[in-house]
Amino acid sequence: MAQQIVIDPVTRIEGHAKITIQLNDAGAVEDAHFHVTQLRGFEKFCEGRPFHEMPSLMARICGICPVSHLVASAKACDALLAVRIPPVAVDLRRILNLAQIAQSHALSFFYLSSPDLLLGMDADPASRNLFGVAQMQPQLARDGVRLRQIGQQIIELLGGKRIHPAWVVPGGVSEPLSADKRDQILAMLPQGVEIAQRTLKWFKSILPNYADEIEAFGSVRTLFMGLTNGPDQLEMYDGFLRIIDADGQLVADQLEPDSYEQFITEMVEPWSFLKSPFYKPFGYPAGIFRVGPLARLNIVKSCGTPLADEALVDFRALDTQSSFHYHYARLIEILYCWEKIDELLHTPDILSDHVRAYAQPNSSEGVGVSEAPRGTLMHHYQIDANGLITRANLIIATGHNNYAMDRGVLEVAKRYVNGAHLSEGMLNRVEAVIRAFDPCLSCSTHAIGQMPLQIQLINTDGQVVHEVKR
Amino acid sequence: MILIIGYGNPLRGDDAIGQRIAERISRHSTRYEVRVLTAYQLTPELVEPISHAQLVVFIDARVDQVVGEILLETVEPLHGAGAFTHNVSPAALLGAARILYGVTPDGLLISIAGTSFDYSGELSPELSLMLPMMTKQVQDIIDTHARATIEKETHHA
Repeated sequence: MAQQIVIDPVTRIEGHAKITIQLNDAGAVEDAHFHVTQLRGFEKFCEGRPFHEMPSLMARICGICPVSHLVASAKACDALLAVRIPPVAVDLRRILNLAQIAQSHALSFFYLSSPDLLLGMDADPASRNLFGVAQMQPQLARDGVRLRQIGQQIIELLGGKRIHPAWVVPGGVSEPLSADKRDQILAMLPQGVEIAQRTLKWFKSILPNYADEIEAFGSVRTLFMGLTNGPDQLEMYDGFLRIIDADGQLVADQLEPDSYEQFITEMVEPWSFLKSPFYKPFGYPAGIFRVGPLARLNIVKSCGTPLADEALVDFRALDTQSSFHYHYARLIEILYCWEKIDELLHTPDILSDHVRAYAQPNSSEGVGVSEAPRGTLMHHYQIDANGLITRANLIIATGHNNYAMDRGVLEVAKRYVNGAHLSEGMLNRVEAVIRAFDPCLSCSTHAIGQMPLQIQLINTDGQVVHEVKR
Repeated sequence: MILIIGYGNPLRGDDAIGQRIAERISRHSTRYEVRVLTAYQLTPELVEPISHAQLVVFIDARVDQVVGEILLETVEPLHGAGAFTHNVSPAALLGAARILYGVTPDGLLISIAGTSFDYSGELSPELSLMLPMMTKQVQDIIDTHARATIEKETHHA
């Protein structure tokens, strides 16, 4: 008798989702899906608002990465003003974005995934959390806390507050950087570098324990997409889009982010509120791509900072197709972020007062694209003659990864789930493939650690034949 | 050092009372070394500043009948399992401070009954009216406990 397993909600991710696994009569996995069950509606309810409100409105999409939305939104508004913002404002926005990426990566790695990595996929779920990590390896937990803190403090120093800072505005930033704040930020960076390097060393030491998961998480092959720049280095703020295939061959390069609609479109699947973008010329699903840390490292020649580039050498020796290596890439990017912030803070004019360009709207349409922690983030606005929003299209980083996550769930379920007997560990591996992507389903108000996990085995008559709860 | 953490969502009406009182207290001078933090919710990062404190005072809103009623609870460190992601309890934070940094500051939770937790950037008229008086009450509670904590530490020393 065909059966279905439901994991609802998926835990230790940002937001609400569930996983369903369909079993055939023999109890083997036949199909599986990742369902995003929440609807936000930001694209609709911002219609009619003045465009200059957009950065602050869009930052409210998320309590984890408001800065990413702030930056992409402000870039779209720059395009509406048709201004070239002062170079120092670009550098200051870059620093804010890098701090955001580092602290978000720290949340993902240390708070959400390190319990699986340190305690094991089959560990007791009651202790498989950061508390359990703290008890087993306090230094790892302290490092996670400190890395988050450094990122948040940089955001607070620049933006005035840790969550939803309003410092990034259309045309630049609202205030220049003071020497005192610059020095405070610089003083924190060496510790950030030290922690990132220590964690990378530890992570590399445990990788052999996860050979099976690395292989299982690598069975979905897709394109990769991200921003890159002139010197072919890691780029988080500007530049062109590049797409490569699963073998590392160039598919498309120097793609203008403003023209994304010419080469990217979205597919709606009936099982999810999250759409699946794909590369138009390849069609669906062949044109599916992954974004985020793994994609970013796969598409560039180098990071462009010394220590991150050193770390990249070992990373390149792996099968970097596997989504398990999102964790690895995340750690390298944390290292990169601290190094890059240090570099930017040492640019000669970083304390310049010239940080904002003023203008009225000069264009009826604007696109802003930047890299968020989870990947390429796109904001696209159209306005009327009064500067009121008539259309907003947002393609969120997690959305780009939707199809890859969905197929990842299927492949991992096929490998680990045995319909005859459910174990918590096998279902945790199905969740873990989702966690590797660090999806942000935009729900800052949810107490994710308190959500129950319920897995039901339901027969075709709708009867629950087996249930696991935690 | 006395650490005061006022927390709650400032866009949900009376949920902001913890932050509002903490902000008011931060403007007053006290005889003790005081650090005031405000937050939307308690997060694991707070464990680091907590590890430097002798007394941690959490100020939060609660849903209850008598608007403005102030309740005082001692917070004991939580040991063992518990949710510890980006939304944690005062007890979990004190427990984590012990595990991670080997310290256990005294903990106090001051909760204030609110009446409206709907979308609003303002406190309800009732709590707004009572804000100065409640701040004074909270300040007095903190002073009393700060004195006791400092005396206890001096005695142990």
